[in-house]
Amino acid sequence: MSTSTLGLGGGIYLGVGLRQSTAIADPDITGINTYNGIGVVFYSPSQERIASLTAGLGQGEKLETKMNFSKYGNLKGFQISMLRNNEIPFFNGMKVEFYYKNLPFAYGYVDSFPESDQISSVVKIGGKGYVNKLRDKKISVNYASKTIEYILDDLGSTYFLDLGFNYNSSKIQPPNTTISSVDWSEKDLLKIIQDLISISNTNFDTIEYIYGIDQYGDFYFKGISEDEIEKAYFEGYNYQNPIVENDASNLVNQVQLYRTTDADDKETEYVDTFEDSDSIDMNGLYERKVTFSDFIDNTTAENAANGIIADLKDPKTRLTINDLIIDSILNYGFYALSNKRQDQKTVISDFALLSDWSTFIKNIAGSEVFYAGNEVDLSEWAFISTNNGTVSIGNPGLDGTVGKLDFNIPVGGGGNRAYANSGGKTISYSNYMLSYYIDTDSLTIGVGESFINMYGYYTAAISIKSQIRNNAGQYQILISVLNDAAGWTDGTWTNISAGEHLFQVVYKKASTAIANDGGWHFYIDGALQESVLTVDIFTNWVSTLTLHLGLRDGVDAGTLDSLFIDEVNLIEGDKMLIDATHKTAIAASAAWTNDELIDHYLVIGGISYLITDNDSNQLTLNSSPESGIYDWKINYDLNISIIDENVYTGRLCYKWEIDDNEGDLIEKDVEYFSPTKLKLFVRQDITGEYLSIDIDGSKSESFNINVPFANDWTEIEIDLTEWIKVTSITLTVIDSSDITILLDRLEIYTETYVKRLLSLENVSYNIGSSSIKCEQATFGTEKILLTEDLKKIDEKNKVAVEIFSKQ
Amino acid sequence: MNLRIRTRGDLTYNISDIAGDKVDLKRGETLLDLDIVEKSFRSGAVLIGERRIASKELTVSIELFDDNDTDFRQAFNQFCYYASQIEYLEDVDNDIRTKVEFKGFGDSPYQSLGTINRGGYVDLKLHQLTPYWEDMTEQTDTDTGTDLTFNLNNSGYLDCPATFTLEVAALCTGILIYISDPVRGIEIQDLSFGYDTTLDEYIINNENGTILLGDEQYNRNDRIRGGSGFFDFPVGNFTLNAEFSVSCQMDIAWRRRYFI
Repeated sequence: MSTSTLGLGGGIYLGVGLRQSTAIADPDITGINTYNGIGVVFYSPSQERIASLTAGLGQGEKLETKMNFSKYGNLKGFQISMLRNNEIPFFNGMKVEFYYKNLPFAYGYVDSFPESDQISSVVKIGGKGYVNKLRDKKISVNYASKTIEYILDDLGSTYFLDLGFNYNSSKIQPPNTTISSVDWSEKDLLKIIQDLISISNTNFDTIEYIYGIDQYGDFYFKGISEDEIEKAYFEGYNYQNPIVENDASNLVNQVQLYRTTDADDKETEYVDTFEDSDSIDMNGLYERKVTFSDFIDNTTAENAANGIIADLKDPKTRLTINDLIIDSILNYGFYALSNKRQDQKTVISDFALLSDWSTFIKNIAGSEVFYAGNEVDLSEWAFISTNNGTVSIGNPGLDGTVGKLDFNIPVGGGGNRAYANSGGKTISYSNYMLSYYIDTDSLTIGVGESFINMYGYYTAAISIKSQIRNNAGQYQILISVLNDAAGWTDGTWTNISAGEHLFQVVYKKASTAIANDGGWHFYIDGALQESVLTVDIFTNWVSTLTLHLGLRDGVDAGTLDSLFIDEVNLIEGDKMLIDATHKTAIAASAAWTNDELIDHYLVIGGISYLITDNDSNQLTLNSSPESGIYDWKINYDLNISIIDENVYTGRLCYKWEIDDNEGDLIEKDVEYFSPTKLKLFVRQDITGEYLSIDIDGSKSESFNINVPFANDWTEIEIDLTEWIKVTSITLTVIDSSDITILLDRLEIYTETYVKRLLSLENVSYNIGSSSIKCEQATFGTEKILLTEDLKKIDEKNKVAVEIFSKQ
Repeated sequence: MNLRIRTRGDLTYNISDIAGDKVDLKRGETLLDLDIVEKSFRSGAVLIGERRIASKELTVSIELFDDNDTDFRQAFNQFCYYASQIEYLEDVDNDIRTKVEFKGFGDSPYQSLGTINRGGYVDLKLHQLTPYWEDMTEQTDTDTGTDLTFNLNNSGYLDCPATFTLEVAALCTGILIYISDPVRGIEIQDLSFGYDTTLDEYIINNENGTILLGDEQYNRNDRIRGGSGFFDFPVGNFTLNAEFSVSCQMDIAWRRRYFI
């Protein structure tokens, strides 16, 4: 039909500043020079290229395009302005390809152009995107038990070519949803495809589906993900003064569910009511009645109703920007838009959900992790005594369980000994830990006397030892290590108080033969007493260790009666993290699975835990790269419940009943930039400090929460202006008293950019000879809803959709 | 007054070459625009904290004399030629400049002075796109490491944006640059920075609001972590901290800003 016009094609006359690029027969655009501006290629309906225009440089040239796009990235309409002094023949239905920076980005057709007898020097040509062509074809069709892909393939292969665009099956990637029955009668293709996109756009995950005609003239139907942020823009830099609206007009937070009866599809029966109470509290009641066909079962209907609520319970944010500064064309997708820095308050937790806090942890402490090895089996130990000494099993054990070692010398002096010999244990790591409970209350040591309570033999030579003495009435312990020069490096005498204690010594090999960075850490009850890391201990480092523990040697005349020792563990490992430079070691530990850890000991800050295979006590590992501190955490059921006590009116909050729970804590990983202060509402039945709050991030600090009034809510405020960032918040019980603590509303105040992830809804451009200008862009959170549109389809078209068959 | 035109093509033209010391600059009226509804970037105003300084018109008045008509016209045309391409108006005496757009010139009556001299007064109208003056020479600082502290002094009188140029020799996924007081900063997580030698440079431009990666200058604004973002240097002494996951060379460049 239009071949006659092609006669002009070979001799295109381009006006001043409009450049012809390549011969018309050439099917591609490669000849167009790289300019920043717009390029336009005109085709006849029979695909012959009629003209290629690019915006030139210099004055007096004009090629300018205004265009706008829909939320699916479809070109809706365009207007091309160019100088009249070219001889391009215009006619309706001419195909137009648009190029920007030499890349195609849109595809449309001309539907209006000026008569040739006009005198204006500028010609304005109007057109539409090819999606509009879908409106021109009306069909009646029905499918049963077909996937969306099947339907699209069927429609595409039958109708698309006639409409002027391509059916390319590789670009049709709908969700794997099966429609059990659908009947469209006298519907245009656009309506049918919109129905299909509505079905595809469920809200179960972040994928949304879009359709359209791409820049190559191919029909597409595919998913996009919120994870794929196209660009990020900042107010004050990339745009100014957005118009931000909250639109509650479509809000639904309660669904009254009805269903047509089996007998009569005009009659309905009430099924159930579903609601979101938080949304009702915040926004008031927005109710909707939804009626399903009788063949929809209860579960499906309930899922659909909950889906409607999930999608519509929050007001939608819409953000409109005029004159967005861009460097490339935005079609569709998700964009991160940051409003300018401002003060804002965020509720970190309202303590209404137990799962709101990521971990409930028992007894977390310390900053060093010593990786677990095998427990030493006490049954392998030999008990040795000389003269009057005895070794026996006493009860109860020091660790709270049954059994302890009772080393007894009834009469002091005289070379008496009573000790246990572990036998040789292989040490294959560059650090290991000796840990045991000890009780010296029943042992008498003469004033000024001392004895060896531990020898560690490497083959025949003693390589580690510890001694206990009575220094003017104060019992003390001394740790020593044999260095490479075969001399003893001693620590300092450390006081031992009365009662039972956990002694732990982490021995560490020097990093190289010439380095003086070996030594030990010594803990009593998990508290670090002494760190000596200046020892040249490399060549003499043990590979096989034999331990002697008890009243081992040098027992003087005034030293007698019982020394109790329990729960002796020799733990080895290579994951001790002394400082931040060992960070990479933790990555290696990721190779260890929970199964491998079971029945091993885990040491946290000097306290060892046996890891058991217990579903309720799962093991988690948290790393905090900011500080180089790694903590192992054991999930634990705390005495926390949710009750209906409130700060203001009827709100839920945590009730934390503690009694000898010192060290219990709850923790939450957060990410807040530029915080200014933190607020927490606390209520206790006793005044005083029973909780501490630890703030981690760009710095770490702990604050005790002092509650001045009993049984009244106290607002705790913590100044965070010294932090640039907060990454974790921990509430820890710091007292073993019997007390009930109520927690509500943890809020953080920040002065930051407000970042939103919004999808592009529509956008309009003005692209000129060397510039691109985004005239207006609207972003919104609005989603196309399966549930909503399903209802319409169901009512009007008798479609039944297997809603949840998406895979 | 020694004023100079710098054109978009980076050519310079000393106004005093034709007008000698008969140059006058009217700086216009400076107003703080407290109504942030104004679409300020269109007219050239700049965000300064919560407030903007409205853009304004500058007038450069010169007296031009020459020996005869031809020379006068030539000098005047040459002046207008450069003025029409102006990008910056430079105050050479004070080493400051401001970004302007040529708006036009006023009526330029010229008259005979005696029999041969020709002279005239002309007002060059310029629209000041950035309503402040800034250093012609950039202030710079540089350091290398993973944990850097810069003690800086913005001795201008307005908050000013800086450009940070980062260069690494290994993969650097974490970047945190901040000022503690007043708290402001930017945090970036980019798994591509330092991946290879074509991606080893990062330019954080706080003036344009862009982050460009590597030789191809990919825009990486979407790698900025939530809550953080571009920021200006405050006036006076402050400490800028920078933390990187691997050793990084950081170059800082900024131009101090002045009201006049």
